Amino acid sequence: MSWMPSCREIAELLSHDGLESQPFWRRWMAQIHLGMCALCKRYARQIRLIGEALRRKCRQGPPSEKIESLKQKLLGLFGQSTPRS
Amino acid sequence: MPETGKILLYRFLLSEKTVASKIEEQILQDLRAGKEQAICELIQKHTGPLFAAALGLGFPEPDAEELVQDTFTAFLTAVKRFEGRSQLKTYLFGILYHKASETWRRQKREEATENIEEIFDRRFHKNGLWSAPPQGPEKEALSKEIMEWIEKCSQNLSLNQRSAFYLREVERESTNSICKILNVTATHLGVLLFRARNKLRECLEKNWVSQ
Repeated sequence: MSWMPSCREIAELLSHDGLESQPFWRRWMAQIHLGMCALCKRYARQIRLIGEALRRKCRQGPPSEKIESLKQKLLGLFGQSTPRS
Repeated sequence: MPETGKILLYRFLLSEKTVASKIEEQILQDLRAGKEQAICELIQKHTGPLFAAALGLGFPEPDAEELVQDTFTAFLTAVKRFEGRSQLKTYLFGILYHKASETWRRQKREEATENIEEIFDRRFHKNGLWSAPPQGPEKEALSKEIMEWIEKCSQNLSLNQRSAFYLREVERESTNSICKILNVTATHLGVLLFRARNKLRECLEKNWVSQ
């Protein structure tokens, strides 16, 4: 089935720029492949998990008091010392 | 959606974009004029995202604070030369990345030498089928343990791999913006993301297998 992307092509697609950036027909073919291939599905899940972990870690972000104290420091350096809200 | 609805939606989106870019242009004019209020607004708005990004790139807090300060210093020194061809946020992230590269080089951090392409080659037969399939539990939930592994594994990434991965996954920046920030082509960005994701996955897999 040469029209169907191989497991390697699927893994490359998923780890390069994700399926979203692909044309509709290629995304569609990839989805069919993922629906049939348990190994690629596992690979896709793991790649998604890694992205989610980074997002969750970074979304917590630095504590607001740390950001506020950095802002105060920068405002003292570059602008006025009393911040505007 | 009916045609007229689409046209109205596009017009609304365009006008929103125009208003946003006019506001940004006004802020830039004020910054170029050295107006204190504009500088304060710039600091109020961008300190949080820049600090979070510096930490997200793996710098400890004191270094991250210094990077944010250096970014504002460089921006305010060069603001008269900034032509506004990219968004202010993109431009600031670009400076932060540049400063981070300097810090990275100064600290002489070692770049991981593991060749991920070779590892990838070994995982597939010539016909493109898996020869060494991905290992790991059937249903992986995002546990505290996995988060800790990923954090540990991400220390093996180079700065540009980390940056590309952070900008794509956390900031959800477009390919175009990331390429501008990192000064790379779209193809190179694809390679950076490929390496980052696969290095992390390989590392995570080692942890799963060794359990």
